[in-house]
Amino acid sequence: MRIMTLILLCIVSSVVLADEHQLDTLLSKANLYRVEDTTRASVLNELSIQLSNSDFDRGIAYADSSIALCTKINSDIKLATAYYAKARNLSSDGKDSLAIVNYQLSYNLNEKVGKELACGTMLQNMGISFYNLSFYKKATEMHTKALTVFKKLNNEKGISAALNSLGIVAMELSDYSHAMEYYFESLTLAKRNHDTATMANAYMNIGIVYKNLGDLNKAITYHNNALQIHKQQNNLIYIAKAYNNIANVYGEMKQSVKALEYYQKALEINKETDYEYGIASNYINMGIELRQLKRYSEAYQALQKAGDLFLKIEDKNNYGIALKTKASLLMAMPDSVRNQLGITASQHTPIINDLLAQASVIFKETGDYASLSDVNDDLYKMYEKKGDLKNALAHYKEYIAYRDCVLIDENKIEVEKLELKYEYATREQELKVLNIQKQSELQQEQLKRQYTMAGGVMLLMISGGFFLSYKKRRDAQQKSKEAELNAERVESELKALRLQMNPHFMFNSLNSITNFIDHHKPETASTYSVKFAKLMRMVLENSEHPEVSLADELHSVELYLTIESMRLHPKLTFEINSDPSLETDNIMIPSMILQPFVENSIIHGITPLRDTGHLKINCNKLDNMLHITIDDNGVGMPNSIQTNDNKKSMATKISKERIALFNERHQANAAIEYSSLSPGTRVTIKIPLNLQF
Amino acid sequence: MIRAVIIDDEQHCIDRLSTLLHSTKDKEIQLAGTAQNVDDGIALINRIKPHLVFLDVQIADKTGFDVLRALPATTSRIIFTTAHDKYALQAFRFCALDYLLKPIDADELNAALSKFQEEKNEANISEQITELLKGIGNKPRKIGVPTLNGIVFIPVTDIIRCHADGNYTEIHLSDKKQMVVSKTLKEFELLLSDYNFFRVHNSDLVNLDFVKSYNKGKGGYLLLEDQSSVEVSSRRKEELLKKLGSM
Repeated sequence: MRIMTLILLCIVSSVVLADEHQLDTLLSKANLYRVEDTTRASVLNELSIQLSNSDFDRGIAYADSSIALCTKINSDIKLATAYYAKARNLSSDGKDSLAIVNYQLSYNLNEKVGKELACGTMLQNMGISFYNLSFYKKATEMHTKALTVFKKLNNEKGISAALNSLGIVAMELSDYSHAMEYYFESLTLAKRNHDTATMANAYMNIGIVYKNLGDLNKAITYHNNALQIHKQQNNLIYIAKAYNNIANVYGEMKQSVKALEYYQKALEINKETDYEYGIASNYINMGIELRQLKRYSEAYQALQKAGDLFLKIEDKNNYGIALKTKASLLMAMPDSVRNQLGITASQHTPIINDLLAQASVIFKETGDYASLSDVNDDLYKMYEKKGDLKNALAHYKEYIAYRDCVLIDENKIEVEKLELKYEYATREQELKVLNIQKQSELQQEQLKRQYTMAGGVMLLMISGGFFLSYKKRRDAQQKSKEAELNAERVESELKALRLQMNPHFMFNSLNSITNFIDHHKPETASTYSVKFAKLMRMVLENSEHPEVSLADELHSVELYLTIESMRLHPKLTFEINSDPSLETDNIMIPSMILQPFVENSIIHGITPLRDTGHLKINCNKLDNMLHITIDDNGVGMPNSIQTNDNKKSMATKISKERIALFNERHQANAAIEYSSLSPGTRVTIKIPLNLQF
Repeated sequence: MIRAVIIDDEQHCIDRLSTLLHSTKDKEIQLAGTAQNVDDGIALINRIKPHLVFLDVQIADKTGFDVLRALPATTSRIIFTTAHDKYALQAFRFCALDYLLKPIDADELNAALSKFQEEKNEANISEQITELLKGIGNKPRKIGVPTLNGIVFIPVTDIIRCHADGNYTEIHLSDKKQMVVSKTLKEFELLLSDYNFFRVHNSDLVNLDFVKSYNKGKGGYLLLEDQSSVEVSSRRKEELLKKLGSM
């Protein structure tokens, strides 16, 4: 369903690929033509609009300079276009609320200079932005206004675009009859004008409505019509979409073989055009169909590919869905297939658990409560089957909580839908009333009564909806207050733990420094103490904050390791690496979480060695978690545990408690894991990716 | 030849710094004298007219600022030295004055010396010192930003917002002027967060006194009094609303 929604969005903001050649020409024009007049403004505007499909940051910059220029030379007409260009870029950047502001500015100017067609275009685009923000009522209002403008100007292209958008909004609100009306009107118009692109669009949307209405044969007919047009135009991306839509319908018909055949066709084209999002969607749908056909291991591979691709293109939510689907496939498959895939019986549950845990972290981040409730439903059923009632109950509770969140959201949409329906009903009723006025007065009176009653019933329904959502909101507010209090408690506990940690760390370092002065030359001692002072300063600063950036944390660990490698010279070498794709300035982690583990690796792993030990810290991103590994090539765990029997490091103990509290506060699944290397030990610290901005 | 003096009440600090100056690769620098209290320090500067003064912050029961108060027209470049004094450090940063933290790191000293040799621009020294002395003990009202023409002082209340552009920051002022400064947005955030500035986005720091309205959305956006609008990161929304609510 989600994938379907995304495809719809693609239609709204139809993909126009920037013509590189045209772009170059414009760029050179912009560079050559520097006279500050309307010609330059036009070039800047055109450039900005061109860029809105490919590089919106630059697009915004060009629009901004055009806005500055037009304001200076007082050209309202060009300024209107500049605002429009900026809005287009902002909308491509997902900043729809800002886009609306700019469309509005453009609208005002166009109105002032009397450019009606442009006004219509602004209204139409504002509608699309409101739709993207899920403000359906506003979206309908804008598209309706746009439609009026286009009709007045007899601009048929505009009319069919507005109708099409109105249809999409109605469809989103499950108001299929109106959606159908709009699409058919748009289709008739497009046919008359031989506007094949709009025709194909209408066919496809009608197909989708028929599918949602359960009239699957008709759905296939309409998708096929769309397909034929796209084939004539040789529009590859849309041919693939049409195949995909047909496959979706066959899937709904439970004709998995047919569905697979069409997904395969779509996949081939998507591969040809290198459309990664399309490829990933094809794979995930193929995985679902293959599972229906009990071709489990192929299904597993398809889902694997889908997941990898969604991860690559950073489509988080769909990546989560791929993980979730994989987990439920693993639950469903027979043991023999599972063994073939190289997953043993003992690995089975942990793998599923891990997949679902990863998925739920993602859904929490993307706010997809519907998927979250699904994940917890899966987890609860799995634990119940295993007889682990404690965990089953915990996940059942989460399932209920998230389902309630979904209900609150759905209620909001319900109210919105009811309001809209009420308006539709009112409008129709008004029309009827107008007609009937010509008839007898008695009939008119009757109708008015009916109308009032109908309105009354509608109003009652709406206020009922409001009450429901109000109560839910009050409950939600209470919940968030509790959560806040809880967070405060955890925060003060964390503070206490940090305070315990500082003296411990200081005395350890002071011991190192004394040791160093006893055994080494004075110059080195002086360098050493300068570094130590720096480290102390950093520790003092960092411990004021519960969380610091990964960059700062790595910097202080680097300083610590420099000091330790001086002290142990030449027995310790080290390296610190982090994946270049990590924004280390933006990723926040609990402050001073690493140092105790590094210290442990040195004391228990490396110092007992006869040779030089090497310590390696690596940071990377895996499934939306930050993984920090601390590897040493020291004596390994069992030996070091023997030599240091019961002396557990206080600092690592504190760090573990802090991780536990961090989990409580963020509802997260951060963890610390130890594993053996040959030779040596690896500590892995897994923390959910927590971005500052 | 560059004449330098050290003013510090503790002998070991003077020793450390002079050892470092002697061992520095730069043979252009000559230590021309030292002083261990404020009065001797003032006399020393008046007598030697050094190019460079290493000035401790806490000098017995007085401060390095007392030295500067007595020398309003000095053209000597000042590098403060201090062990740990949060407020003083903040004041130095506001005036873009140099400082070294004790114990002094040889690399940092060398960096400060080469910076000194590169920018022989003396035009703003007395303004920097005047602003510093105004800012000591109370909140500085102006912020010094390095530009091509030396340090320029801007009243904090004139800044509407700062926008990150890689390692540079664009400063948007209430008179519609803009400046580009080679400092990161993070540095400005550290200085200005006590002045009702708030980082609403990875690339924007906003003076909340100039906020006209907040518009809802996923993160929403702020409309500022210069008619500009700034997108709010969804991760910062809650804290922003809290701040705006308490205003």
